[in-house]
This record gives sequence, structure tokens and C-alpha cells, in this order.
Amino acid sequence: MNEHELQDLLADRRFRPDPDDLRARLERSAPRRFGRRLIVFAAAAGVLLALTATWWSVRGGETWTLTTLDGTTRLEGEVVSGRHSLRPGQELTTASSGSAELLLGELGRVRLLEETTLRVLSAGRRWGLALERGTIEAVTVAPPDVFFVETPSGLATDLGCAFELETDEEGHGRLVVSAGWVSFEVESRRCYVPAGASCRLDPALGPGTPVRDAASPELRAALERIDASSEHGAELDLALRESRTEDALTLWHLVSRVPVASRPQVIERLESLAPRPPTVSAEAVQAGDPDALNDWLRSFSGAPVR
Amino acid sequence: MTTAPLSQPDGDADAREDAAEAGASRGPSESTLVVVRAARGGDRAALESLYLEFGATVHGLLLARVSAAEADDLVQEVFVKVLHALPSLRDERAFPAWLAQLTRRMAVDHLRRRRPTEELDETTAGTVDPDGLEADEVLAVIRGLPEAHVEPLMLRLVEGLTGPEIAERTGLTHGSVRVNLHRGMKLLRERLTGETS
Repeated sequence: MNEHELQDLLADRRFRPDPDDLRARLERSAPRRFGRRLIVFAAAAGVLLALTATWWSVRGGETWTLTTLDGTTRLEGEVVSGRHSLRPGQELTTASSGSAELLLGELGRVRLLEETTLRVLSAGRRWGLALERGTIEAVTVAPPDVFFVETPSGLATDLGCAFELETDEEGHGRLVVSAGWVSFEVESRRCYVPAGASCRLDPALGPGTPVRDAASPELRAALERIDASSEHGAELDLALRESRTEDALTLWHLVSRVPVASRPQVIERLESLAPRPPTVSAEAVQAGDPDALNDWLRSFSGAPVR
Repeated sequence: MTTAPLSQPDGDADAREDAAEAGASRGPSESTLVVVRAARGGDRAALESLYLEFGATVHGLLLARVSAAEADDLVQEVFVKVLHALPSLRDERAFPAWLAQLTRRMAVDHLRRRRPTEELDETTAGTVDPDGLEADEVLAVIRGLPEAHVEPLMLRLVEGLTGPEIAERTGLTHGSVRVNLHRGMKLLRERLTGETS
């Protein structure tokens, strides 16, 4: 038995991140005795946030910083190593077994895994990349909407989080979120993906319906078929039956994705899992009104929807 | 229990470590420091980022002292503690070593709280899968090795970290990690196969 065989044997004992559990424990550990102090602190934080936003809006001149890690990295076709500042328009490629890291000022980092090509779009007020192919892992503490990634199949917008984005040249890929939220949009179709969930990317169909990593295999399979076809009947019944409270976000996306005739049954099931707030009218939801749907989403998920 | 001979650490891995050694000696990357700074200010998204980046290290350090089931639970508690204790960290560059020390202390505290009659017995941790039992047996054998070898072996064999990564994240020197991994693998092979050299 060599080292690799031992690693295989022990793989089941390896660390498995559970950010949901961590969040719940953090919530439970939060001090609750100092209500007045918290209010004062929150007010001070609000002022600080406003000042930061002002500073944010007027500053400029920042650049992406590239640090090569393993293997070969090319900048505009030239092999580079060490640290470099990048200008908008410059293209970066990692070779097989290559990797590199980009810093968004002090707001976070983007790691390029092997065989990845991307282009810098902007820096400063909004930090943008165009991912042409390959895989990136991003971790940011940027305010929502500051960091975005264009892909061949749509636009991923960071809403304060950690995520992995993978695409091929045609736009087939996957978005996996491990902390916070990411939105993904193409033309009229937008989805919101929270920590512990993912969605498939398809250049023809747009972003797939987001689904939790822990969702049942039956639900995942039904969603794939729903996303790929306009015929929903039995698959939709199965998806609704398999959905649990934690899958409310998935059903929320289905409200505006299924044919209007099927919408009532999705809304009914969603209401049983995440009650509709009194301020959100049933008629508006049935009509697919975006503001009403967003209000409902915010009420049960805290999603930073715009 | 499989008794096939164990190999020495493979040459490719050593070559990879040599290549990575220079980078590892620089300490945490600037992007990690950015995230540590944000977490120190109470940013929970930043804490989650640290959890994703350092969770495997914390888990491996815990496995060196407690059962797999206990480690799964304690790793979460360590990061809850991190959020509250991080403001006391003066030098952000010391975060990896600080986190390792915090983890070791929490594992020791956990062992102290455990009832005297509770033994660390992986084979009674609730696993019924025969393959699982085998993995837990290996963990128990690793824990029985001299202390200096246990953490590096857990981080390498269970969490898949390279030597330089282990050095960077535990505060040990790379030379020390390399020696302890090499000797630890040799001892582990002897214990698992019943051979002595």
C-alpha cells in the first residue's frame, strides 16, 4: 500500500465543508444581551458604509494584480512569471497544470485553474473579467455588483461570496457557490445561486434552475429535464413532490420558468414551503411581476436581489 | 486489514514540494491577508472564506487528537471561536500558526471535558461499513505514532496537503515537516505491516 492508496483509503475521513452548519452555529453564538449597543454599533456601521461608498465612487486607477503560481502562464501570449499589473483588454492563459491568481485590489482574489483563458474588462469601481474557457475560483469581500464575470453563456455577478465558475468555449459549464450569493443572467433569464447550491450553464437555455447540493437525485434529474424541455407535466409533478423547505429557492425560480398554465401549482407548493408575505399579492405573483416575486424571495431567503 | 507493503513517499510528490517550497516560505498570500483582515472586522463572508481555505488544515489537526466524528463537529466550533477571537490577533501574517494553535488548544480542552470512561476508539464511532472500519484503524495507528509525526501524516494522508502547505499552515519549518513525514511514513508502514527495519 503506497501513499496514494492510503490517501484513497482515508478519503472518506477528509474535511467536508458545511457552510450552512457554520452559519447556523455563528447565528447561535451571536451575543443577544446588548441590544442598545448593537443599535448604536449598527448606526455607526451604516455611517461608515456610506463613507466607504462615497470613497468607492470617486476613487480610480486601481488594477488587477497577477501572481503566477504553478506551470506556465501567458499574458498576451508571452510567458510570464511573478507579479504583474493588468490593464483592461489584456488576455491571460494558463497551460495544463498551470495556475495563477488575480487580486482585485484588497477586495479578494480569483484563482485561475489549468487551461483557463480570460480577459480583463475593468477595474476600480467595478472589477470585470471575461472568462472564455476554463475554471476560476473566486473569493471576495466586495460589495454586491462590484465584481462580475462574463462567460459565453451569460453574466455572473458577485453578490459578496466565494464561488467556482467553469465554462467551455461554447458556454456549457457550471456555477458552484460556497459562500454568499451569485446572480447569473442572460437576456431575460436570471437566477440567484446561494451558498451550497449550483446551476448548470447552457448557451442555448441560459442558466439552469439553481439546486441545492443536498437536493434529492430525483429532484435534480427532474429539474434537468424541465430546464431542457418545454414539456413539463410529469417532471414538474415530480419536482414539486421532491421539494423540501430548503428547496424553496428552486421552486421560486420555477414560478417564472414554467408555462403560465403550470404556474399556479408551483406557487401553491412554494406557499406551503415558504409562506407568501401579506404584502405580496397573489395576483402579482400569478402575473409573474418581478417586484412581487423578488419581495417574496427576499422574505424567505434574504437574497440580495435587485 | 490490508497488509500489502507500503511504499516510501513518492518521488513526484517530493519534486512538487521542492518546486513549491520557495512559495510556501513566504507565508500567507496577500489575498489571504485581505480575507483575514475582513474576518477580523467581523465579516462573516470572509470568515466563510477562511473556513473553506483552512478548514482541511483544522480538520487534520483535530483528527490527530480526536475521533473523525468529533473532528467533524469540532472544526465548526473552531471557526465560531475564530470569529470571536480573531480581533486579538495582532499580526495577520501569523494567522495560520495562530489558527493551528487555537485548534490544538480546543482539541485538548475537548479531551479534558470528555468523561474519563470515554476512550478514543474509532472502531466504535458508529461506522458499520467494513471499509470505514479499515480507515479508522489506520487513523488509530497514526495517532499511536510519536507525536511529531501525527499532525504531518494526518494533513498529508487524510487532507491531501503537500509538505510546504503543511509547513505554512502549522507554523512548523519545512525541513521539520519533510523529516517527520518521511520518518512517519516509515514507522506507519512498519506498524501496519508488522515489519521492523
